[in-house]
Amino acid sequence: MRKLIATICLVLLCSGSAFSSGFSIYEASVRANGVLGAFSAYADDASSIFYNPAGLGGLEGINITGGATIIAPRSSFRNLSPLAPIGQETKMEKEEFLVPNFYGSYQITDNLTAGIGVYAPFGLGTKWPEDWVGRGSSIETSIETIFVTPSVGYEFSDTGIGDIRVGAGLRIAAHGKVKLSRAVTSFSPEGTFALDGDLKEPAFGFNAGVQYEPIDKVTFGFTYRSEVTTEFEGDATFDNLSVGFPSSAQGGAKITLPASYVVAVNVEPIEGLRTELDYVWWGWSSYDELAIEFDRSIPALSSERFPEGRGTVNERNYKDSWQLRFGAEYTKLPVEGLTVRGGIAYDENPIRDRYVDPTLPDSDRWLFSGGLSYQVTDYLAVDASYIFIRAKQRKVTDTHEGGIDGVYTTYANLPGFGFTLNL
Amino acid sequence: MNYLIKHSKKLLSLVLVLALVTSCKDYQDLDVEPVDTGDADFSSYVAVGNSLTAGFQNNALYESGQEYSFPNLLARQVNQSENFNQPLISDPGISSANGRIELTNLDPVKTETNSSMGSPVNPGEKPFTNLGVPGAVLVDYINPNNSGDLKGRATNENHPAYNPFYGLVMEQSELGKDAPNLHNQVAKQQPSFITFWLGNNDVLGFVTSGGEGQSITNPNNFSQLYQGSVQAMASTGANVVVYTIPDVTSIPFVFYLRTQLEQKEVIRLNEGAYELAIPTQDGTQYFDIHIQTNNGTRIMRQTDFPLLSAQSYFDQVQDGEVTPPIDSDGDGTPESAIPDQLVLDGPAGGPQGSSELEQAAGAIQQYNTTIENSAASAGFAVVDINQIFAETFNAFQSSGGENGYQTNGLNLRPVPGELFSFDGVHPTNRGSAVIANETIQTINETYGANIDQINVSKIPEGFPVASN
Repeated sequence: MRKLIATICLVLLCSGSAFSSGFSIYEASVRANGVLGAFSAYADDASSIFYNPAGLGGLEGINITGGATIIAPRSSFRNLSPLAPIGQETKMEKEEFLVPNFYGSYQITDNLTAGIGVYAPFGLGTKWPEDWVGRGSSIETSIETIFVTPSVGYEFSDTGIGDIRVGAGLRIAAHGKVKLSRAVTSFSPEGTFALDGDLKEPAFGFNAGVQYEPIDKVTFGFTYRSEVTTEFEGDATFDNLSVGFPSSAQGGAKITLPASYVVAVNVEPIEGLRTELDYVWWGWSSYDELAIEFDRSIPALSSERFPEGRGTVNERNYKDSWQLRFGAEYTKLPVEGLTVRGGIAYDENPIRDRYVDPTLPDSDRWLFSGGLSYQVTDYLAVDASYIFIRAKQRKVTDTHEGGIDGVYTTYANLPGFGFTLNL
Repeated sequence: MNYLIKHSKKLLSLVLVLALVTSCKDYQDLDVEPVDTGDADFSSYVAVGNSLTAGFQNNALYESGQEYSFPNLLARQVNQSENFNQPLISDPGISSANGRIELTNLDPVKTETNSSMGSPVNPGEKPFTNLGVPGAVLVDYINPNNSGDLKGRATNENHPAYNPFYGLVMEQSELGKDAPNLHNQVAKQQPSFITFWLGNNDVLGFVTSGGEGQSITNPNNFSQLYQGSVQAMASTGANVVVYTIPDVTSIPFVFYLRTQLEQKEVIRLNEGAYELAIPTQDGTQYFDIHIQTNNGTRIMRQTDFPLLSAQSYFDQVQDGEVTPPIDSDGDGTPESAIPDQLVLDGPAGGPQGSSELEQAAGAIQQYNTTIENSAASAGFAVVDINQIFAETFNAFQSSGGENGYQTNGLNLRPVPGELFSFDGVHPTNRGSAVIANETIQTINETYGANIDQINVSKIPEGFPVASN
């Protein structure tokens, strides 16, 4: 009850963009949310397909877990560009995103378990008022992805040096949508350029992991997820742009979703209390630019790179980044079947100051979480989690061509609800 | 067990409290660092001038261009946006000619004029701090005994030189006086800082009409008026920055069309005289081009400039709608000549200094000497726009039309669509930002200030486009 009240206060007091750093989403399971994703060594349910497929090894019977995380990011911008008075504030439009996840596993032999997961590891959504000062940089941006990952895990027990589990999966980007729009301020009256694209064809990558339990109550985990190069294709539209633009065009863009790896350790110091620390590395340097190519020449967009205007490029030059995630879970509560979780994490953003822009006003951030599961029956548990993200206020000046100088402040609330079935 | 329960509750509370504390503090206020304006005081900034100060471009005064007037940009850089107001006119604005010049095609560039008019957006905000009046001449600043007839030009619609912009910018209470002037509007606002850029129109009207319209203000008169203006401004106690007058040959209205015609091989220079290309069955033939001058017709020479206003004349010649300005049958009398008002003629063997070009250039030189001297004696700062435009023009000429004003990764050539708007006289949004930056540099040097320059590449080009 106290938590509920505190949570309500939190929502009321601080409504404020944020997923994980860059546009990754690490909220792939409601249970893992509770420990802020510090889950790669622990990974003991079917969502290990995301966190560490090794966790499938030895997972008994049929395990099904699913749920959704609501992401409610809030950002504001204070202008420092010459386009408006100093300090003029714009609030990003309020949007909520539902990020679903679903995993199922089936134990084939004592040591071998197979599973499949459906989740959304990358995504982003920002929407600014149409007439805001940064409209030439961005009005609306959204990226959606759905990955399907068939995986297997194997457990080597009785190795003599402890329990070893290994696993791997095929990461298939099965669905994807990209949407972006911005004002074209080179002309008066201004026009709008928009691209609405879908994933052209499924894209593939893999993940692999290992869990090692040298002694009881201590587990090490390692997970690697490969880069996935996606290609989007769709309609480019040019509203209110009669000069220098066609009425429409086909546009396409390649987006390389970064590789990542996790090094994790899980310790159970006291009966019922499990604590875990995960270091997550992201290979964001693969995202160096967002180039959109068109099927025809667009004179107004001609540039050095595309002299005939058959494309437009926005430099990104992300750098690799890291996160440190700590979580704890406690099961020995006086209420039978109740598990509580908490977590804290620090997340370094991959965007250099010069390339920060309103499509994704990223910043280093702190994350706080709480969560619980309640075993309703022998088979069914319900899961809930709550994450609050507080990004550092970020002042950017001397931004790149597509950016706008100013100060961004961002925070986000992420409630999550799910269930877990053990059959 | 109890201990652990307590412990976990504490932990959870701690997490939530941390979240609350860190999330809700310091988000509401933004500490804007004060701008270091040194000894300059911008608490009451008033801009005085003509169209260049008003943010006029593409032959019109319109809101989406006024937003980027150099005084408005300057006010923004010193964090005085709230205290700086301009007489905004809704797009497509009010034109001094037939309408705003708008783009109809980008590659190649084609334009047309839009004769629709905008209307005043904020007339209730008078007095304005941007007192730039398109068409204003130097005498308007103090207008002693209404010697410049500002009253007639501002209020009498039947006056041959009636100019509606005075009434849009100035207060009726001022224009109702027998000898209204701009200075009263300035003094009334108790300025702490003034930018003053008048004098362009004292010669520009002569130039843009090919020497046929408004006459050049006599440099001695100019000197008297300028000194009077300087004294008047000095009496307000404000810090003052003044601007020199750019030479006419550095503005595209004068030099651009000839360059364009040469590039398109419509005309060519042959032994100091210009020839017009006439396509015939036997290939292209070249004929001397004849221009009309005050002293009859003569052959166009290297020193003569067909003005940007002659664009449609040449288009019509090419389309066969106008008789070419040549002597095709070789009888010594051209069938036609380019009308006088479309050409600013240069020296052609007459008495030295008598050509239109020399008259204009000579006056500007004297004006600028007056400006420099008056400013120096009053302790005013000077932004030498003449020098800056001349350097830009020289860079353009010496690079074969490749280079212009280099800033923030941009290469703004002194041509329409880059440094200058399509009217060939007034700067674009980015051109205005260049002027604002040059002003800031002068202020920083003169007043020990440290005002940030504008990143010109961030200023939208905002070219007006014709609606379908």
